[in-house]
Amino acid sequence: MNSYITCKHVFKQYGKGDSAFFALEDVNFTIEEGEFVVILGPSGAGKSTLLNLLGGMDSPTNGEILIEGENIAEYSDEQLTKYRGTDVGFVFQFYNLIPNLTLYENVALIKEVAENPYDAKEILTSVGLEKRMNQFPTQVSGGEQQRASIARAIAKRPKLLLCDEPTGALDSETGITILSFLQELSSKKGHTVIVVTHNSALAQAADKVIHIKNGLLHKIVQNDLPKAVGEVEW
Amino acid sequence: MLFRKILRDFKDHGTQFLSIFLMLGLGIFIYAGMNAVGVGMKKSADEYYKTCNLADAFLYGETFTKEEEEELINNNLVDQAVRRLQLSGNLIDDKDVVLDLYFTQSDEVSQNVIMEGEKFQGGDGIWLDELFAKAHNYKIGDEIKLQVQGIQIKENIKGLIMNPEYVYSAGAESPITDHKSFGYAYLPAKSFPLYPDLPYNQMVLTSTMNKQQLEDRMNEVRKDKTTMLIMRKDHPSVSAFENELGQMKAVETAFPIIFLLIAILTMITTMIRITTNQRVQIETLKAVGFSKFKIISHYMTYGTILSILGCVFGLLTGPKFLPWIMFSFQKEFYTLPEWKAVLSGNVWITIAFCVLACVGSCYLAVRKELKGAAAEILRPKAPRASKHFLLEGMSWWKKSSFQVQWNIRDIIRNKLRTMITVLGIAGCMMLVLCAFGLKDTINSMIKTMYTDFMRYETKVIFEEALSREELETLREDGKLQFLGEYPAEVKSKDSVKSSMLNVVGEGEFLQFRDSKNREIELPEEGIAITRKMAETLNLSLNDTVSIKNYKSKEWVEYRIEQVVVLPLSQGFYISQKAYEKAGQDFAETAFLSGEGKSYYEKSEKYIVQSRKDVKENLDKSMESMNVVILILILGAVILGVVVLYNLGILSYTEKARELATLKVLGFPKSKLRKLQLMQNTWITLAGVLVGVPLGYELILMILKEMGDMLDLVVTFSLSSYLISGGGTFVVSLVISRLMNKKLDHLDMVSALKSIE
Repeated sequence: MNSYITCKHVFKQYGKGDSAFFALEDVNFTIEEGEFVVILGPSGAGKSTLLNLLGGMDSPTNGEILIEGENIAEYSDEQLTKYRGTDVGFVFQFYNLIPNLTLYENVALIKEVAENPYDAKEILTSVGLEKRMNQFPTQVSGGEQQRASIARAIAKRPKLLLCDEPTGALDSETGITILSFLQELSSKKGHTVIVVTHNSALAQAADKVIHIKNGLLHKIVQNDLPKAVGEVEW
Repeated sequence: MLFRKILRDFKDHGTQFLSIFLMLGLGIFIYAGMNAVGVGMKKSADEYYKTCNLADAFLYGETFTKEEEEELINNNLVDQAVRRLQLSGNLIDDKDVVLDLYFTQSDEVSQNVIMEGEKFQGGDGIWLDELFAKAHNYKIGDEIKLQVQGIQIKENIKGLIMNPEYVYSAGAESPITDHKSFGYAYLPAKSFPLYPDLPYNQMVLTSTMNKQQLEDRMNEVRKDKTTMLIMRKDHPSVSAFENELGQMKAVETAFPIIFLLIAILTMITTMIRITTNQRVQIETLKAVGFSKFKIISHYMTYGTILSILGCVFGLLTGPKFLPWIMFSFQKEFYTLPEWKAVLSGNVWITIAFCVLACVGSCYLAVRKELKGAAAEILRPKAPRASKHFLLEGMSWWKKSSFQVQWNIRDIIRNKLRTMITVLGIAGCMMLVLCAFGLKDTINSMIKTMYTDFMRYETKVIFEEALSREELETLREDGKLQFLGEYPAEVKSKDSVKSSMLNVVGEGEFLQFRDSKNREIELPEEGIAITRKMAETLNLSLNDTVSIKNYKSKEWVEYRIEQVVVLPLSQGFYISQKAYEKAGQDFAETAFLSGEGKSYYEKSEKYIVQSRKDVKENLDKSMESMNVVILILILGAVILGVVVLYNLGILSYTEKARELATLKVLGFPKSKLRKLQLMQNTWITLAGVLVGVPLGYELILMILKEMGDMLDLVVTFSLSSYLISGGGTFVVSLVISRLMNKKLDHLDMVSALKSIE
């Protein structure tokens, strides 16, 4: 049976000739639908590169990345744009909300690219922002901004949710709320969630942990009984 | 060390600094250049007038005698007086070539500059207008054959001259300078057959007396003889040149303002952007121990270097280049022995102002950072909260697309930048519209004057009074309309001025109109005044005005019964009936006819003027307007491109992160393009709309400088609006496209990084 996401012999090379170096070398793994996956590694290990490849912001030099059987490694620019627009939900470290738009408008703008998005009001209510909807990003707290950012990511019914250090700019308490929320999206709503972080504590909460070191896949750990984010010792 | 920082900052903000430099440079280029042209022309003319001892007053009338000359000079207030006989003659070989001929003993007043040959003196020979000679290929020693008053004159050319009374020289038949068909010449009095009893009809004076004093003196000396007095500033050549200078002045002030304004505004935005971005650096410098003064002067160096570079560039090029172009253009119309470019002190004041404004905006920008206070509307990048604005409550807001919402809020967030862009585009529109509008206005003026007002084919002007029999013969024709055109003095509420009194005989060759463009007839009693003349003299309907015809001695009172509108030929118009009712004698000086020019044999008694020829000549001279239009359009395009490109880059860098985020979220390039294009279109539209009234005002300003003789109605044809608006849009779209190229290289990964 084919996995939901499959990475086969993925290489990513930067530069050419003498100055060439591999950010990723021969990376192989699979991710099943609805899994809560954590990609772990120190900074500079190649996590972000992997995230860029999975998110369709960049293409690998070699290898295949199959999403539901489609090899996005061979996609053209236009196809990648469409893939990002309809299949991937992004949650950024710095939220990246559009400062000119209210929280509601930030979520609603997804309908410009996605085919069948959730109603923005509903989704904001579900992340607990029903009272903040008409405020601008700069008028609410960091945690609220990140929740709005998550709402924007899931509004498009993405095949996978990519989160790049989603708690990096938050205090730990707020961070935990955000992470539990992401975990619930996977366990209760069946979203496939991939979180990139350098915080190894989160590993205990994941269904699967992918360790990356120096561009190489270090190990893959499958947790049969992941802890709830709230129970993890930070 | 800090100096290296300046160099790197210059590199990083290349576009902005380049555009500030260009705008400043261009502004000073035009300002200093036109100043050099205008001031230079004035100085050149003044010097010319002075070295040639141009007359202070010109007297015209029947025979001036030796006794009168002496009597005038005996009065200490008149320094010199020279009598001369001016007659109009023509080449025997070509009757259409007309010359003003002066027979005189001496040319010590209004001296001729000898370009070639010997000094003017008694004896024999002729001294010929140099440009006329060139146009006809006459050389010193050649014989020229003239006909004047039925007398043939054959003389050898002894000198080629330039006379200060002919800076602007155009004959009666055409108002356009044409050295081939019109010239002048000086001849010794001896050459005239009646010597020594010449009927001198002119006397030129140098005197310190004012007009009133001279007039009183004239009355004592000349008693009942008709005399017309014209002061130097009213002499046609002097005043035409003076008007030209006025136009230069308008160009000199109007155009650079917009460039300099944009330069200074760009300086402000750029400096605020730099200092905001370098807030951390500024704090660091402070922490390391740099004094406030050092930091402030560091940032002020940016403005100093840039503004001085820009001004020096403008100052070095403008006064060299523009006089070169403008003088070659002016030389077609005016004749001066020397064309000099001279700068006035105002240039230095303007330059000082620009430098101060640039340095000052640096100071304000950095001071804000040092104070740590938020710069309310000016700060571009700091995380400023967006605001809901008034109209959002309405339902259209909810319905409008995210692009619309995004752009509206972006504009509100960046008021200053938007304002500068609108101003830049408005300036672009203004210049183009002004260029085309000027052409439209003058074309419409020509049409109003030579098609709507003048309905005749030919105007015949009598060089000398016709005999009773000759007039009778003409009257028998029955279809002619007679005119009496008299130079006159007008006494209004507070002053005495020269004007024209035109008596219009029966006929339908002149169609007057009132200010509402309704066709009207001249009243049967009382007088009509042209609108512009009424403004100049501060007169209105039903006022009483005293007019003295130069031939009569008495002041006659008329009531103003009508105000008529004429673009040219300002003055007073009265019907023959009303004139005679006022007890005046109608003395014909010209007639209008429906027959073509060839119907009237040219003779020394007549000047035959074809309406069509005059109109065609004017139309032709309008072609030279195309140069002006081209210059204006070029300036407009440079202005538009620089402003749009510079602000486009500024806005792009500010929005790069947002755009990168949108790209990550899966927005295709076409949508991002549309997003950018939308705002550009709005701003361009706003700029075009603002530019229309500005263009109108600019034309008004220029027309105002054209002098008292013109009453022009600003006219724009539809195509002028379309071409200027369309052209402005094209410039804006091209720049938008250029900016959109940048979207291709937008780095998505930057969206993932922290806000630096």
